[in-house]
Amino acid sequence: MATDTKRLGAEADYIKHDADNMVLLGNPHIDNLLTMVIALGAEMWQGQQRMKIMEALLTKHGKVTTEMIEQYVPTEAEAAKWAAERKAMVDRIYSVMTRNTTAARTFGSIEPNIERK
Amino acid sequence: MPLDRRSLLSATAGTAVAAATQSAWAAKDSNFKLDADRGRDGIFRRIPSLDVGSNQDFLTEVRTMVQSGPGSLQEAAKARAKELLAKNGHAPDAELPMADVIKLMENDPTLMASARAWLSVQQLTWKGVKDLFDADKDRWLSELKSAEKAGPGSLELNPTMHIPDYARHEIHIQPGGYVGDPLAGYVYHYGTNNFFLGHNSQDQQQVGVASAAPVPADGKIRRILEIGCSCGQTSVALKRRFPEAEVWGVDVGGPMVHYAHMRAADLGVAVNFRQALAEQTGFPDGHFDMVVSFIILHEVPNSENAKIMKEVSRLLRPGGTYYPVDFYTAGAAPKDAYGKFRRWWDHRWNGEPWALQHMEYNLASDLTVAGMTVNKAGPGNQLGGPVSIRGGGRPNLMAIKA
Repeated sequence: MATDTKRLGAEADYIKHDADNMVLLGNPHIDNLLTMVIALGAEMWQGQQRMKIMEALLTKHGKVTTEMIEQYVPTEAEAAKWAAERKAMVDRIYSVMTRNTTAARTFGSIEPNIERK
Repeated sequence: MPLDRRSLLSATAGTAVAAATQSAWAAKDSNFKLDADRGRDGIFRRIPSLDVGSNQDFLTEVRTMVQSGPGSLQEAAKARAKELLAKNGHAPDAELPMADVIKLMENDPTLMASARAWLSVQQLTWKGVKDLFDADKDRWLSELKSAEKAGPGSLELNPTMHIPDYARHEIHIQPGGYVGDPLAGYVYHYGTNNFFLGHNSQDQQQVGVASAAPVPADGKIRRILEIGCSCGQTSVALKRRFPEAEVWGVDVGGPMVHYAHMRAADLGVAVNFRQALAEQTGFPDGHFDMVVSFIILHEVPNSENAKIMKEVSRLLRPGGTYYPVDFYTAGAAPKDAYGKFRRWWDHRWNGEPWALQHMEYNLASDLTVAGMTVNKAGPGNQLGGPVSIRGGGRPNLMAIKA
Protein backbone atom coordinates (compact mmCIF):
# COMPACT_ATOMS: atom_id res chain seq x y z
CA MET A 1 0.00 0.00 0.00
CA ALA A 2 1.51 3.34 -1.02
CA THR A 3 1.91 5.82 1.78
CA ASP A 4 2.34 9.57 1.57
CA THR A 5 6.08 9.20 2.04
CA LYS A 6 6.26 6.85 -0.92
CA ARG A 7 4.08 8.85 -3.28
CA LEU A 8 5.88 10.46 -6.18
CA GLY A 9 2.91 12.49 -7.34
CA ALA A 10 -0.85 12.08 -7.08
CA GLU A 11 -0.97 8.32 -7.44
CA ALA A 12 -2.71 5.71 -5.30
CA ASP A 13 -2.81 1.91 -5.15
CA TYR A 14 -4.28 0.21 -8.18
CA ILE A 15 -5.58 -3.21 -9.20
CA LYS A 16 -3.38 -4.89 -11.80
CA HIS A 17 -4.95 -6.47 -14.88
CA ASP A 18 -3.81 -9.93 -15.98
CA ALA A 19 -3.24 -8.84 -19.59
CA ASP A 20 0.29 -10.24 -19.42
CA ASN A 21 -1.29 -13.70 -19.15
CA MET A 22 -3.31 -13.24 -22.33
CA VAL A 23 -3.15 -16.19 -24.76
CA LEU A 24 -5.55 -15.82 -27.65
CA LEU A 25 -3.81 -17.84 -30.33
CA GLY A 26 -3.58 -21.16 -28.53
CA ASN A 27 0.08 -20.88 -27.60
CA PRO A 28 1.67 -17.99 -25.71
CA HIS A 29 4.67 -18.07 -28.04
CA ILE A 30 2.42 -17.51 -31.05
CA ASP A 31 0.81 -14.58 -29.26
CA ASN A 32 4.33 -13.33 -28.58
CA LEU A 33 5.32 -13.75 -32.22
CA LEU A 34 2.44 -11.58 -33.40
CA THR A 35 3.30 -8.89 -30.87
CA MET A 36 6.97 -9.09 -31.82
CA VAL A 37 6.24 -8.76 -35.55
CA ILE A 38 4.14 -5.67 -34.95
CA ALA A 39 6.83 -4.23 -32.68
CA LEU A 40 9.53 -4.95 -35.26
CA GLY A 41 7.59 -3.14 -37.95
CA ALA A 42 7.35 -0.10 -35.72
CA GLU A 43 11.09 -0.23 -35.01
CA MET A 44 11.82 -0.39 -38.75
CA TRP A 45 9.58 2.58 -39.47
CA GLN A 46 11.21 4.52 -36.65
CA GLY A 47 14.57 4.21 -38.42
CA GLN A 48 13.10 5.02 -41.81
CA GLN A 49 11.40 8.13 -40.47
CA ARG A 50 14.64 9.38 -39.02
CA MET A 51 16.37 8.82 -42.35
CA LYS A 52 13.64 10.63 -44.27
CA ILE A 53 14.05 13.63 -41.99
CA MET A 54 17.84 13.51 -42.41
CA GLU A 55 17.44 13.47 -46.18
CA ALA A 56 15.03 16.41 -46.03
CA LEU A 57 17.41 18.41 -43.86
CA LEU A 58 20.43 17.63 -46.01
CA THR A 59 18.51 18.60 -49.12
CA LYS A 60 17.28 21.84 -47.61
CA HIS A 61 20.23 22.90 -45.49
CA GLY A 62 23.19 20.76 -46.51
CA LYS A 63 23.79 19.86 -42.89
CA VAL A 64 22.15 17.96 -40.14
CA THR A 65 22.47 17.68 -36.37
CA THR A 66 20.68 15.43 -33.91
CA GLU A 67 18.77 18.40 -32.57
CA MET A 68 17.64 19.43 -36.04
CA ILE A 69 16.32 15.92 -36.68
CA GLU A 70 14.55 15.74 -33.32
CA GLN A 71 12.92 19.14 -33.72
CA TYR A 72 12.01 18.80 -37.38
CA VAL A 73 8.46 19.76 -38.31
CA PRO A 74 7.50 18.25 -41.65
CA THR A 75 5.71 20.31 -44.25
CA GLU A 76 2.15 19.27 -45.00
CA ALA A 77 3.35 17.67 -48.20
CA GLU A 78 6.07 15.71 -46.39
CA ALA A 79 3.67 14.62 -43.66
CA ALA A 80 1.16 13.38 -46.24
CA LYS A 81 3.83 11.59 -48.28
CA TRP A 82 5.35 9.88 -45.25
CA ALA A 83 1.91 8.90 -43.95
CA ALA A 84 1.15 7.28 -47.31
CA GLU A 85 4.50 5.45 -47.26
CA ARG A 86 3.81 4.27 -43.73
CA LYS A 87 0.39 2.99 -44.70
CA ALA A 88 1.84 1.22 -47.72
CA MET A 89 4.46 -0.42 -45.51
CA VAL A 90 1.79 -1.63 -43.08
CA ASP A 91 -0.23 -3.00 -45.98
CA ARG A 92 2.79 -4.80 -47.44
CA ILE A 93 3.70 -6.46 -44.15
CA TYR A 94 0.41 -7.12 -42.43
CA SER A 95 -2.36 -7.35 -45.02
CA VAL A 96 -1.66 -11.07 -45.33
CA MET A 97 -3.46 -11.38 -42.01
CA THR A 98 -6.71 -10.50 -43.73
CA ARG A 99 -6.60 -13.36 -46.24
CA ASN A 100 -9.55 -15.68 -46.13
CA THR A 101 -8.44 -18.83 -44.38
CA THR A 102 -11.69 -20.76 -44.66
CA ALA A 103 -10.41 -22.71 -47.63
CA ALA A 104 -6.92 -23.03 -46.22
CA ARG A 105 -5.40 -26.48 -46.37
CA THR A 106 -2.29 -27.88 -44.79
CA PHE A 107 0.62 -28.79 -47.00
CA GLY A 108 0.12 -31.92 -49.07
CA SER A 109 -3.42 -32.63 -47.97
CA ILE A 110 -4.92 -32.39 -51.45
CA GLU A 111 -3.65 -32.54 -54.97
CA PRO A 112 -3.30 -29.23 -56.83
CA ASN A 113 -6.03 -28.37 -59.33
CA ILE A 114 -3.77 -28.80 -62.38
CA GLU A 115 -6.53 -29.21 -64.94
CA ARG A 116 -8.52 -26.16 -63.69
CA LYS A 117 -11.64 -28.19 -63.03
CA MET B 1 -15.31 17.49 -42.51
CA PRO B 2 -11.85 17.16 -40.94
CA LEU B 3 -11.04 19.73 -38.30
CA ASP B 4 -8.53 22.30 -39.52
CA ARG B 5 -6.01 22.18 -36.73
CA ARG B 6 -4.66 25.57 -37.66
CA SER B 7 -7.98 27.18 -36.94
CA LEU B 8 -7.54 26.26 -33.29
CA LEU B 9 -4.42 28.30 -32.75
CA SER B 10 -3.27 31.29 -34.72
CA ALA B 11 0.47 30.60 -34.68
CA THR B 12 2.86 28.55 -36.84
CA ALA B 13 0.62 27.66 -39.74
CA GLY B 14 2.61 25.94 -42.47
CA THR B 15 6.06 26.83 -41.19
CA ALA B 16 8.68 24.54 -39.80
CA VAL B 17 9.15 25.96 -36.34
CA ALA B 18 11.99 24.42 -34.46
CA ALA B 19 11.96 26.81 -31.51
CA ALA B 20 10.87 25.34 -28.21
CA THR B 21 7.51 26.55 -26.98
CA GLN B 22 7.78 27.89 -23.50
CA SER B 23 4.83 27.54 -21.22
CA ALA B 24 3.72 30.73 -19.52
CA TRP B 25 4.23 29.37 -16.01
CA ALA B 26 7.37 27.44 -16.90
CA ALA B 27 9.12 30.69 -17.74
CA LYS B 28 8.93 31.55 -14.07
CA ASP B 29 10.32 28.24 -12.87
CA SER B 30 14.07 28.06 -13.21
CA ASN B 31 14.04 24.32 -12.56
CA PHE B 32 11.95 23.59 -15.61
CA LYS B 33 13.89 22.13 -18.54
CA LEU B 34 12.82 22.73 -22.07
CA ASP B 35 15.57 20.89 -23.91
CA ALA B 36 13.34 18.00 -24.86
CA ASP B 37 10.48 20.19 -25.97
CA ARG B 38 9.73 19.49 -29.64
CA GLY B 39 7.21 22.25 -29.97
CA ARG B 40 3.55 21.99 -30.82
CA ASP B 41 1.35 20.82 -33.61
CA GLY B 42 -1.65 23.08 -33.05
CA ILE B 43 -2.65 22.52 -29.44
CA PHE B 44 -0.82 19.21 -29.27
CA ARG B 45 2.54 19.29 -27.54
CA ARG B 46 4.53 16.89 -29.69
CA ILE B 47 5.65 13.77 -27.90
CA PRO B 48 9.16 14.48 -26.56
CA SER B 49 10.95 11.91 -28.71
CA LEU B 50 11.02 11.64 -32.49
CA ASP B 51 11.66 7.91 -32.32
CA VAL B 52 8.78 7.19 -29.96
CA GLY B 53 6.53 9.47 -31.99
CA SER B 54 7.42 7.61 -35.18
CA ASN B 55 6.93 4.28 -33.44
CA GLN B 56 3.51 5.40 -32.26
CA ASP B 57 2.60 6.61 -35.76
CA PHE B 58 3.35 3.14 -37.08
CA LEU B 59 1.35 1.44 -34.36
CA THR B 60 -1.52 3.78 -35.16
CA GLU B 61 -1.35 2.70 -38.78
CA VAL B 62 -1.38 -0.97 -37.77
CA ARG B 63 -4.37 -0.30 -35.51
CA THR B 64 -6.13 1.30 -38.48
CA MET B 65 -5.39 -1.74 -40.64
CA VAL B 66 -6.72 -3.98 -37.88
CA GLN B 67 -9.96 -2.23 -37.12
CA SER B 68 -11.06 0.27 -39.67
CA GLY B 69 -12.70 0.11 -43.02
CA PRO B 70 -12.55 -2.09 -46.12
CA GLY B 71 -9.68 -4.56 -46.19
CA SER B 72 -9.24 -4.37 -42.44
CA LEU B 73 -8.68 -7.36 -40.22
CA GLN B 74 -11.97 -6.54 -38.56
CA GLU B 75 -13.77 -6.95 -41.88
CA ALA B 76 -12.13 -10.33 -42.32
CA ALA B 77 -13.16 -11.24 -38.78
CA LYS B 78 -16.76 -10.17 -39.41
CA ALA B 79 -16.87 -12.32 -42.52
CA ARG B 80 -15.44 -15.22 -40.57
CA ALA B 81 -18.04 -14.74 -37.83
CA LYS B 82 -20.79 -15.01 -40.45
CA GLU B 83 -19.25 -18.22 -41.75
CA LEU B 84 -19.19 -19.68 -38.25
CA LEU B 85 -22.77 -18.70 -37.63
CA ALA B 86 -23.89 -20.25 -40.92
CA LYS B 87 -21.87 -23.39 -40.27
CA ASN B 88 -23.68 -23.76 -36.96
CA GLY B 89 -27.13 -23.13 -38.40
CA HIS B 90 -27.54 -19.50 -37.32
CA ALA B 91 -28.62 -16.49 -39.36
CA PRO B 92 -25.95 -13.77 -39.84
CA ASP B 93 -27.82 -11.42 -37.50
CA ALA B 94 -28.74 -14.10 -34.99
CA GLU B 95 -29.00 -12.85 -31.41
CA LEU B 96 -27.29 -15.40 -29.22
CA PRO B 97 -26.61 -15.37 -25.49
CA MET B 98 -23.11 -14.13 -24.68
CA ALA B 99 -22.04 -17.54 -23.40
CA ASP B 100 -22.94 -19.11 -26.76
CA VAL B 101 -21.13 -16.37 -28.66
CA ILE B 102 -17.98 -16.95 -26.68
CA LYS B 103 -18.18 -20.71 -27.13
CA LEU B 104 -18.71 -20.32 -30.87
CA MET B 105 -15.98 -17.82 -31.52
CA GLU B 106 -13.25 -17.95 -28.92
CA ASN B 107 -11.20 -20.67 -30.55
CA ASP B 108 -11.43 -19.47 -34.11
CA PRO B 109 -7.94 -18.43 -35.29
CA THR B 110 -9.11 -15.59 -37.54
CA LEU B 111 -11.35 -14.06 -34.90
CA MET B 112 -8.76 -14.41 -32.18
CA ALA B 113 -6.00 -13.08 -34.43
CA SER B 114 -8.03 -9.93 -35.04
CA ALA B 115 -8.47 -9.50 -31.31
CA ARG B 116 -4.84 -10.32 -30.58
CA ALA B 117 -3.50 -7.90 -33.17
CA TRP B 118 -5.55 -5.07 -31.69
CA LEU B 119 -4.52 -5.94 -28.16
CA SER B 120 -0.85 -6.26 -29.11
CA VAL B 121 -0.98 -2.76 -30.58
CA GLN B 122 -2.65 -1.56 -27.39
CA GLN B 123 0.05 -3.09 -25.21
CA LEU B 124 2.86 -1.78 -27.40
CA THR B 125 1.28 1.69 -27.46
CA TRP B 126 1.14 1.94 -23.69
CA LYS B 127 4.60 0.47 -23.25
CA GLY B 128 6.19 2.86 -25.72
CA VAL B 129 4.61 5.95 -24.19
CA LYS B 130 5.06 4.88 -20.59
CA ASP B 131 8.69 3.87 -21.03
CA LEU B 132 9.40 7.27 -22.57
CA PHE B 133 7.93 9.28 -19.73
CA ASP B 134 9.22 6.96 -17.02
CA ALA B 135 12.76 7.36 -18.38
CA ASP B 136 12.66 11.01 -17.32
CA LYS B 137 10.21 10.70 -14.48
CA ASP B 138 11.74 13.44 -12.35
CA ARG B 139 11.37 15.92 -15.13
CA TRP B 140 7.68 15.29 -15.68
CA LEU B 141 6.89 15.12 -11.98
CA SER B 142 8.67 18.44 -11.60
CA GLU B 143 6.57 19.87 -14.43
CA LEU B 144 3.38 18.72 -12.72
CA LYS B 145 4.42 20.01 -9.33
CA SER B 146 5.60 23.35 -10.70
CA ALA B 147 2.22 23.87 -12.31
CA GLU B 148 0.13 23.08 -9.22
CA LYS B 149 -0.18 26.66 -8.08
CA ALA B 150 -0.11 28.13 -11.55
CA GLY B 151 -3.06 29.69 -13.29
CA PRO B 152 -5.22 30.21 -15.05
CA GLY B 153 -7.56 27.75 -13.35
CA SER B 154 -7.04 25.83 -10.14
CA LEU B 155 -6.19 22.35 -8.97
CA GLU B 156 -7.53 20.47 -5.94
CA LEU B 157 -5.86 17.16 -5.25
CA ASN B 158 -7.30 14.96 -2.51
CA PRO B 159 -4.60 12.41 -1.71
CA THR B 160 -6.46 11.03 1.32
CA MET B 161 -9.80 10.54 -0.40
CA HIS B 162 -11.28 7.06 -0.46
CA ILE B 163 -10.90 5.56 -3.92
CA PRO B 164 -13.32 2.67 -4.40
CA ASP B 165 -12.00 -0.53 -5.90
CA TYR B 166 -14.06 -0.09 -9.06
CA ALA B 167 -11.91 2.90 -9.98
CA ARG B 168 -8.58 1.24 -9.26
CA HIS B 169 -8.51 -1.08 -12.26
CA GLU B 170 -6.09 -0.73 -15.15
CA ILE B 171 -8.74 0.54 -17.49
CA HIS B 172 -7.83 -0.17 -21.14
CA ILE B 173 -4.86 -2.09 -19.70
CA GLN B 174 -3.08 1.24 -19.28
CA PRO B 175 -0.30 0.34 -16.82
CA GLY B 176 -1.24 1.73 -13.42
CA GLY B 177 -4.67 2.77 -14.65
CA TYR B 178 -5.90 6.25 -13.94
CA VAL B 179 -5.01 6.26 -10.27
CA GLY B 180 -1.81 4.27 -9.89
CA ASP B 181 0.79 5.97 -12.09
CA PRO B 182 1.84 9.53 -11.20
CA LEU B 183 2.39 10.16 -14.92
CA ALA B 184 -0.93 8.59 -16.00
CA GLY B 185 -2.07 11.85 -17.58
CA TYR B 186 0.85 11.94 -20.00
CA VAL B 187 0.47 8.25 -20.84
CA TYR B 188 -3.28 8.56 -21.36
CA HIS B 189 -3.06 11.70 -23.49
CA TYR B 190 -0.48 10.35 -25.91
CA GLY B 191 -1.75 6.78 -25.86
CA THR B 192 -5.33 7.70 -26.64
CA ASN B 193 -4.29 9.68 -29.68
CA ASN B 194 -3.23 6.30 -31.04
CA PHE B 195 -6.53 4.76 -29.91
CA PHE B 196 -8.39 7.41 -31.91
CA LEU B 197 -6.30 6.41 -34.95
CA GLY B 198 -4.22 9.57 -34.83
CA HIS B 199 -7.28 11.77 -35.24
CA ASN B 200 -7.32 13.36 -31.81
CA SER B 201 -4.19 15.47 -31.63
CA GLN B 202 -6.38 18.57 -31.69
CA ASP B 203 -8.90 17.09 -29.24
CA GLN B 204 -11.27 16.52 -32.14
CA GLN B 205 -13.40 14.02 -30.21
CA GLN B 206 -13.74 16.29 -27.21
CA VAL B 207 -14.33 19.42 -29.30
CA GLY B 208 -17.14 17.51 -30.95
CA VAL B 209 -18.71 16.74 -27.59
CA ALA B 210 -18.30 20.27 -26.28
CA SER B 211 -19.66 21.76 -29.49
CA ALA B 212 -22.81 19.69 -29.31
CA ALA B 213 -23.50 20.02 -25.57
CA PRO B 214 -27.00 21.51 -25.25
CA VAL B 215 -27.42 24.76 -23.36
CA PRO B 216 -30.26 25.44 -20.93
CA ALA B 217 -33.39 26.91 -22.52
CA ASP B 218 -32.97 30.19 -20.66
CA GLY B 219 -29.46 30.58 -22.02
CA LYS B 220 -27.92 31.20 -18.60
CA ILE B 221 -24.56 29.47 -18.30
CA ARG B 222 -22.55 30.49 -15.26
CA ARG B 223 -20.96 27.18 -14.37
CA ILE B 224 -20.24 23.97 -16.27
CA LEU B 225 -18.99 20.67 -14.89
CA GLU B 226 -17.39 17.77 -16.66
CA ILE B 227 -17.52 14.53 -14.65
CA GLY B 228 -14.83 11.92 -15.33
CA CYS B 229 -12.71 14.56 -17.05
CA SER B 230 -9.54 12.40 -17.34
CA CYS B 231 -6.84 14.67 -18.81
CA GLY B 232 -9.21 17.56 -19.29
CA GLN B 233 -9.64 17.70 -23.04
CA THR B 234 -13.42 18.11 -22.97
CA SER B 235 -13.20 20.58 -20.10
CA VAL B 236 -10.78 22.74 -22.10
CA ALA B 237 -13.06 22.54 -25.14
CA LEU B 238 -16.04 23.57 -23.01
CA LYS B 239 -14.18 26.60 -21.64
CA ARG B 240 -13.20 27.58 -25.17
CA ARG B 241 -16.83 27.37 -26.27
CA PHE B 242 -18.12 29.17 -23.17
CA PRO B 243 -15.30 31.53 -22.19
CA GLU B 244 -17.48 33.45 -19.72
CA ALA B 245 -18.45 30.34 -17.78
CA GLU B 246 -16.65 28.91 -14.76
CA VAL B 247 -15.67 25.42 -15.90
CA TRP B 248 -14.79 22.52 -13.62
CA GLY B 249 -13.51 19.05 -14.34
CA VAL B 250 -13.55 16.25 -11.78
CA ASP B 251 -11.91 12.86 -11.94
CA VAL B 252 -11.14 10.16 -9.38
CA GLY B 253 -7.63 9.87 -10.80
CA GLY B 254 -5.29 12.25 -9.02
CA PRO B 255 -2.64 11.83 -11.74
CA MET B 256 -5.25 12.66 -14.37
CA VAL B 257 -6.36 15.99 -12.90
CA HIS B 258 -2.74 16.73 -12.04
CA TYR B 259 -1.92 16.55 -15.74
CA ALA B 260 -5.22 18.12 -16.82
CA HIS B 261 -4.49 21.24 -14.81
CA MET B 262 -0.89 21.48 -16.02
CA ARG B 263 -2.02 21.14 -19.62
CA ALA B 264 -4.90 23.62 -19.37
CA ALA B 265 -2.65 26.17 -17.68
CA ASP B 266 -0.02 25.58 -20.34
CA LEU B 267 -2.66 26.27 -22.99
CA GLY B 268 -3.77 29.39 -21.11
CA VAL B 269 -7.29 28.03 -20.61
CA ALA B 270 -8.90 28.67 -17.23
CA VAL B 271 -10.39 25.38 -16.08
CA ASN B 272 -10.59 24.29 -12.47
CA PHE B 273 -9.85 20.67 -11.70
CA ARG B 274 -10.75 18.65 -8.61
CA GLN B 275 -9.86 15.10 -7.73
CA ALA B 276 -13.23 13.66 -6.73
CA LEU B 277 -15.66 10.89 -7.46
CA ALA B 278 -18.39 11.68 -9.96
CA GLU B 279 -20.93 10.45 -7.43
CA GLN B 280 -19.50 12.63 -4.67
CA THR B 281 -18.16 15.84 -6.15
CA GLY B 282 -18.47 18.05 -3.08
CA PHE B 283 -20.19 20.95 -4.88
CA PRO B 284 -23.35 22.59 -3.49
CA ASP B 285 -26.87 21.76 -4.70
CA GLY B 286 -27.89 23.40 -7.98
CA HIS B 287 -24.39 24.75 -8.52
CA PHE B 288 -24.12 24.06 -12.24
CA ASP B 289 -26.04 25.02 -15.35
CA MET B 290 -24.56 22.26 -17.48
CA VAL B 291 -22.99 18.92 -16.77
CA VAL B 292 -21.19 16.97 -19.48
CA SER B 293 -19.59 13.56 -19.50
CA PHE B 294 -17.58 11.75 -22.15
CA ILE B 295 -16.97 8.00 -22.00
CA ILE B 296 -17.10 7.67 -18.21
CA LEU B 297 -20.34 5.74 -17.83
CA HIS B 298 -19.14 2.44 -19.28
CA GLU B 299 -16.11 2.55 -16.93
CA VAL B 300 -18.35 2.47 -13.87
CA PRO B 301 -20.55 -0.31 -12.45
CA ASN B 302 -24.24 0.20 -13.14
CA SER B 303 -24.90 0.51 -9.42
CA GLU B 304 -22.48 3.42 -9.17
CA ASN B 305 -23.88 5.06 -12.30
CA ALA B 306 -27.22 5.21 -10.51
CA LYS B 307 -25.50 7.24 -7.78
CA ILE B 308 -23.77 9.42 -10.35
CA MET B 309 -27.10 10.28 -11.97
CA LYS B 310 -28.45 11.33 -8.57
CA GLU B 311 -25.38 13.50 -8.05
CA VAL B 312 -25.76 15.06 -11.50
CA SER B 313 -29.39 15.86 -10.71
CA ARG B 314 -28.42 17.37 -7.36
CA LEU B 315 -25.74 19.51 -8.95
CA LEU B 316 -27.93 20.95 -11.70
CA ARG B 317 -30.16 23.92 -11.13
CA PRO B 318 -33.73 23.68 -12.51
CA GLY B 319 -33.51 23.79 -16.30
CA GLY B 320 -29.89 22.74 -16.29
CA THR B 321 -28.76 20.20 -18.86
CA TYR B 322 -26.82 16.95 -18.68
CA TYR B 323 -25.14 15.71 -21.85
CA PRO B 324 -23.61 12.26 -21.54
CA VAL B 325 -21.72 10.88 -24.53
CA ASP B 326 -20.90 7.23 -24.27
CA PHE B 327 -21.16 3.87 -25.98
CA TYR B 328 -24.94 3.67 -26.13
CA THR B 329 -26.16 7.23 -25.73
CA ALA B 330 -26.71 7.48 -29.50
CA GLY B 331 -27.61 3.90 -30.26
CA ALA B 332 -28.26 0.53 -28.67
CA ALA B 333 -25.77 -2.05 -27.44
CA PRO B 334 -24.92 -4.66 -30.06
CA LYS B 335 -27.22 -7.65 -30.24
CA ASP B 336 -25.52 -9.44 -33.13
CA ALA B 337 -23.07 -12.21 -32.33
CA TYR B 338 -19.98 -10.52 -33.75
CA GLY B 339 -20.75 -7.24 -31.94
CA LYS B 340 -21.10 -9.15 -28.71
CA PHE B 341 -17.87 -11.03 -29.37
CA ARG B 342 -16.02 -7.73 -29.69
CA ARG B 343 -17.60 -6.45 -26.49
CA TRP B 344 -16.58 -9.63 -24.72
CA TRP B 345 -12.88 -9.56 -25.54
CA ASP B 346 -12.78 -5.83 -24.98
CA HIS B 347 -14.18 -6.51 -21.49
CA ARG B 348 -11.99 -9.50 -20.73
CA TRP B 349 -8.67 -8.47 -22.22
CA ASN B 350 -8.74 -4.71 -22.73
CA GLY B 351 -9.41 -3.77 -19.13
CA GLU B 352 -13.08 -2.89 -19.47
CA PRO B 353 -14.39 -4.50 -16.28
CA TRP B 354 -17.86 -2.91 -16.49
CA ALA B 355 -18.40 -2.93 -20.23
CA LEU B 356 -20.53 -6.06 -20.32
CA GLN B 357 -22.93 -4.96 -17.60
CA HIS B 358 -23.02 -1.55 -19.22
CA MET B 359 -24.66 -3.18 -22.24
CA GLU B 360 -27.69 -3.70 -20.01
CA TYR B 361 -27.55 -0.30 -18.31
CA ASN B 362 -30.73 1.75 -18.48
CA LEU B 363 -29.40 5.30 -18.35
CA ALA B 364 -32.74 6.88 -19.17
CA SER B 365 -34.36 5.09 -16.26
CA ASP B 366 -31.72 6.21 -13.75
CA LEU B 367 -31.95 9.79 -14.99
CA THR B 368 -35.72 9.73 -14.59
CA VAL B 369 -35.47 8.27 -11.09
CA ALA B 370 -32.98 11.02 -10.27
CA GLY B 371 -35.52 13.68 -11.21
CA MET B 372 -34.50 14.60 -14.72
CA THR B 373 -36.49 14.72 -17.93
CA VAL B 374 -34.89 12.58 -20.59
CA ASN B 375 -34.77 13.40 -24.27
CA LYS B 376 -33.36 10.50 -26.28
CA ALA B 377 -33.13 12.69 -29.36
CA GLY B 378 -30.77 15.33 -28.07
CA PRO B 379 -28.11 16.92 -30.29
CA GLY B 380 -25.81 14.54 -32.10
CA ASN B 381 -22.13 15.28 -32.52
CA GLN B 382 -20.20 15.12 -35.77
CA LEU B 383 -16.54 15.79 -35.46
CA GLY B 384 -13.76 13.30 -35.22
CA GLY B 385 -12.03 10.70 -37.31
CA PRO B 386 -12.94 7.16 -38.16
CA VAL B 387 -13.04 6.10 -34.53
CA SER B 388 -16.02 7.82 -33.08
CA ILE B 389 -17.94 6.58 -30.11
CA ARG B 390 -20.07 9.63 -30.30
CA GLY B 391 -22.77 8.42 -32.62
CA GLY B 392 -21.58 9.95 -35.89
CA GLY B 393 -24.18 12.69 -35.79
CA ARG B 394 -27.05 10.51 -34.61
CA PRO B 395 -29.27 12.00 -31.91
CA ASN B 396 -27.67 11.62 -28.50
CA LEU B 397 -29.51 11.28 -25.23
CA MET B 398 -29.65 14.33 -22.97
CA ALA B 399 -31.47 15.22 -19.78
CA ILE B 400 -32.89 18.36 -18.22
CA LYS B 401 -33.26 18.97 -14.52
CA ALA B 402 -36.90 19.46 -13.68
